[in-house]
Amino acid sequence: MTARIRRLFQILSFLAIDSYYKGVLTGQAIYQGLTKRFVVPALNCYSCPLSRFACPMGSFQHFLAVRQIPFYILGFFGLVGASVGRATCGWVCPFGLFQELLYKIPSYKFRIPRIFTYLKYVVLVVLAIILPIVLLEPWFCKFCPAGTIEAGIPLLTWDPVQSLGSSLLEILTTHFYVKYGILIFFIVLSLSTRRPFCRVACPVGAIFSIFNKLSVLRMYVDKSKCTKCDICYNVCPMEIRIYENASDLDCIRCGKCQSACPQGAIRFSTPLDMLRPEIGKDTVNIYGLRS
Amino acid sequence: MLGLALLVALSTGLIIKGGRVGDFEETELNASMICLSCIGIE
Repeated sequence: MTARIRRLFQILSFLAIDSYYKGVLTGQAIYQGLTKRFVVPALNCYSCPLSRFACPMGSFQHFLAVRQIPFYILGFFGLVGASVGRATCGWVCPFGLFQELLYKIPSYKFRIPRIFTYLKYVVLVVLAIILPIVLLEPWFCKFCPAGTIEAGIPLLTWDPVQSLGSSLLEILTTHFYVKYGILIFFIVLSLSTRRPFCRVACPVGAIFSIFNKLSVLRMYVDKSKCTKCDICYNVCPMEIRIYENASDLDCIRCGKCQSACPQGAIRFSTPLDMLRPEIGKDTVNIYGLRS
Repeated sequence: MLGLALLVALSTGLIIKGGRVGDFEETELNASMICLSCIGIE
């Protein structure tokens, strides 16, 4: 049931975020209306012709590149992170949905070693923070595969500047091939391993993961029921063992483990659970409150 | 729980501060142009 609700939520999120079809019909390359002031809690390229919102990571880098403190973006990351941790990766992100669908295609499957998941913090610090500050450009965007598939491919195919007697295709450089190579790399990888970009390279996921340990929405594992059968591990799109750490940095709160657990040992948790007599005491412990 | 409350308060304060210094307009300005980096041109 949770899986169906989540898939529906992912699709509706995608349709809500990327719904500017009028621009395609009228020849406007990208949406420039009021909602473009607001960012969404997921990687979503603001240069996508269909996008009605701005990308939090693109905007974050933009502020750093113009040497301004990104108060609004930092506050947004903090508020979303404090509310749901990394759940938006599992419930909202269109590029996450894309990778999940690719993984459904029958092919050779393998797991990425856990050590590689720490690379996303390097990507965040180097490409999304240091280089934009030093070189005054959004360096993560230069390599972002979500930008390639949401903006690069549609805009280069459509080539909206053609009407001005010019063409985007005339000014392609080596960077174009590097960026498209990265997209192809992650598409091929997504066929064989779960959400490779989210786990290894996404700076938005890296930021939200920091909040997993203190957010309002969390996962809870009843250790008295858990038999460590690893069914949860086998269905987890982030390949974590939730029973080892219910607030794991990589948990995207998708709920697949909850649905799969034969013991019913895993559930979503919020402070409101304290009002439920049967689990109230556990909830007090989860959130570090005194009973 | 106290840490969570402080985080929510701080984040809300940052968003309000961002609104006062014109972050929303800056975001819109930024997003009103096609980003050539996103396409893979420069």
